[in-house]
Amino acid sequence: MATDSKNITENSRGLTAAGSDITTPGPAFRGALSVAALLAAALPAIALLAPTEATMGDAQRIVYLHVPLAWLALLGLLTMAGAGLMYFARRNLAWDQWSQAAAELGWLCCSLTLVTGSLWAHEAWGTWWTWEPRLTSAFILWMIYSGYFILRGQLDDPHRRARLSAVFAVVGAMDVPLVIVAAHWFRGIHPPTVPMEPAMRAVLWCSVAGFTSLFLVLLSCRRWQLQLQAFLELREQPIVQPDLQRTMR
Amino acid sequence: MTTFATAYLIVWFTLTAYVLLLVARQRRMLHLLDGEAPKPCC
Repeated sequence: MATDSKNITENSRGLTAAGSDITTPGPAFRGALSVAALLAAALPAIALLAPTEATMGDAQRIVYLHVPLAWLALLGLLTMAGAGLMYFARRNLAWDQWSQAAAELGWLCCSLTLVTGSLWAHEAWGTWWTWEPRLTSAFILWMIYSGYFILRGQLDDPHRRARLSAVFAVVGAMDVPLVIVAAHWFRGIHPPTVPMEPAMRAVLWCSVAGFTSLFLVLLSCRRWQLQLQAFLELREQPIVQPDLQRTMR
Repeated sequence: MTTFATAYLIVWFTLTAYVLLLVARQRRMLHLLDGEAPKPCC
C-alpha cells in the first residue's frame, strides 16, 4: 500500500506537495483550531465590555464583527492572487488548493460583511442597502468571489482550471485597493475611519486578531482537506506506466 | 442590543455550519482512505 501511495505521488504532476508525501498535521493543529475558535467565540463577550457609543448605542458593537470580516474578505482575495502567482511560477497544484481554500473562506467572510453591514446601515442610515461607492465595491468583491466558483465549476482539467482561476484571482485582486480607497476618494455615506476611544480600539484589534487566527487555521485545514481529496481522486485512477505500455506494443 | 445580537447569531451560526461541514467532509474522506491516510487535522 505504501508503494502505491508513492507511485501515486510520483505520477501526480504536482497534485501533492512538491513530490513529497502528504503532510500529517497532528494534535498541535487541532489545538490551534480549538484556541482560535474559543478566542473568536469569546470576542462578542469582550465586545460587550467595550464602552457604549453615544449616538448609535449597542448597535455600534456590530463594528467589532463587521470590520474583521471585511478585512478577511480582502485578505482572502489577496491570498488567492498570491497563490495564483505562485502557481504560475511553480506550476504546482498545491498553490491552486491554497487559492480554492482562501476563496471559500473569503466568500463566506464577504457575505457576512455584507449582511452585518446591512444591519448596521439600517440602524445608522435607516436603509438596508444603498449604492454608494464602498458598498458597491464590496458587492463587486462578492461577485468576483462568486464568479471564481462558477469559473472553476466549468473546467475539468486540473491545470487548466488552476491557470484560469489564477488569472481570474490576479485580475480580481485589483478590486481590493478600490474597496479600500472608495470611502476616501469618492463622496459616500460610508465612514472611511471611525474615531474611537482607546478601549474601543483595543477591543477592535482583539477582534481582528481573533478572527484572523481563526481564518488562518480554517484555511490550513481546508487546504489539507483539498490535498487529501486530490490524493483520493488520483488513487481511484489507474496508474499508467508509459514504459510498460511501449514494451507491450 | 437586538441588532447586535442578530448580527452575532448570524455570524456564529454561519461559521459553525462551515466548520461542521468541514468536519463531516473530512470524516467521509478518511473513511474512504481505509486508515492509510494522514491523521485528521482538526
